Amino acid sequence: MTERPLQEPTLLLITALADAPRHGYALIQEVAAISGGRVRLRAGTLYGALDRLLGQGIVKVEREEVVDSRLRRTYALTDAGYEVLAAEADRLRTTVREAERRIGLGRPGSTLRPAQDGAGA
Amino acid sequence: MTGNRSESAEGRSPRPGGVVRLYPTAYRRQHGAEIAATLADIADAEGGWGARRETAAVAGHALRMRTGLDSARPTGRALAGLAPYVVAVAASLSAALLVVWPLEPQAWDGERTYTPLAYAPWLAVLGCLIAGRWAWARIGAAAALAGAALSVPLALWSGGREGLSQNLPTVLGLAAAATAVLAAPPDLPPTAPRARRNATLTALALGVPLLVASTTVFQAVAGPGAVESARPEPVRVLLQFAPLVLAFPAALGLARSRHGGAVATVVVAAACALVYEYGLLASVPYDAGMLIGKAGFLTGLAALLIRLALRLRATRERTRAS
Repeated sequence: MTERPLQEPTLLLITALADAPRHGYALIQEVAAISGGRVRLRAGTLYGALDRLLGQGIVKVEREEVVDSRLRRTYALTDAGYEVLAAEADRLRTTVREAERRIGLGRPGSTLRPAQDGAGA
Repeated sequence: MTGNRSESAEGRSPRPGGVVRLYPTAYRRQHGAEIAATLADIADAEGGWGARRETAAVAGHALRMRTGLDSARPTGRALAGLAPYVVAVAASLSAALLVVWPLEPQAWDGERTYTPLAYAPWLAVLGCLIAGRWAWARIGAAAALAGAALSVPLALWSGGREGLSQNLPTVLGLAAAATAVLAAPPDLPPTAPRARRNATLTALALGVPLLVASTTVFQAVAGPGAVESARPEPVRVLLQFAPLVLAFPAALGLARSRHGGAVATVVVAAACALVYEYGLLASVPYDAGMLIGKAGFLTGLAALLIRLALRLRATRERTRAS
């Protein structure tokens, strides 16, 4: 779907949707948790990204319901979204594996050993 | 957003008020209640300050939706891609102006006034961009916009009408650059190594010649047999260098973008028309109009050629693969 690496807010957003569908505020919280508090999506940024991902067919609306008289629209990844996330994870894994291999080569005393094939990140 | 969202729940949630009204009507009908609910959740969890920040962010999204600059549209994505270059150009000019500002004027320089408040924040914006801190870069751009706004009365106060008219084009240009950075969709931050590298290279390619040329004293012809010391104005140097420095990245960016072929064709046609009908280009300050017109023509042409080469290569690879 996409050849370029995903930008961080997009990657975090679709990662937050990978295990379960989530509504807007839950997504903001989940992205903060995944990034260890480093990335805090603003509501305007979140809905801008969701618009784009819906248009690209990466995300879909799973359901909507009213909870405590507030509208909750819950989003989920599409099959294409899972493919994009898997491709990005694969790209990151390759980079991490190579980084670990080179650390192992460059620092003889390092606890990081050159990774075996398929045992990277 | 896409049409697969039902509107059945509209009206059952709290009435979207305040900031949500900034959205275009159709979007507000479909998503206003949901966004208002998210804002209410945030206000419950974080209190007044957090709610105000989120309200400002939602207002920004609403204004982007109204102006067609949200990331779901090609214009918004194009602006996000342009933002690093805008920062690099504005920071290069600002650095040169800040360096020239305290220098003793030369005999043939003429009266020059400066507005350092409008320049200084750009160095921080560039630093934050290169460091991958786009949120801080946006705060710096807001400071640059405020600095530009304050510079107008200050230029009038310190230099009178002459000082204001001298500074106004530069201050307005820097204000437009700051607005472009703030308007770029924040969900597509230029924090990838490639964007930061491009910004660094552009700032170096433009900033170093600008600094060197702006501080170089040369002998200006003051009259028959008479020469006087002078320094070129940084804005003049920028208008001469920027088309040359930006032509290649612009051609490459156009060649690779989805609608690049159409845009490049328009650029070539517009440049031809402008060069043929010189009146408009003649109004560009410092006689830079013709250079900008020719650079635009060559950029568009190069983009079309690169695009063609990329297509041929892709076709060849597909044929080889099959």
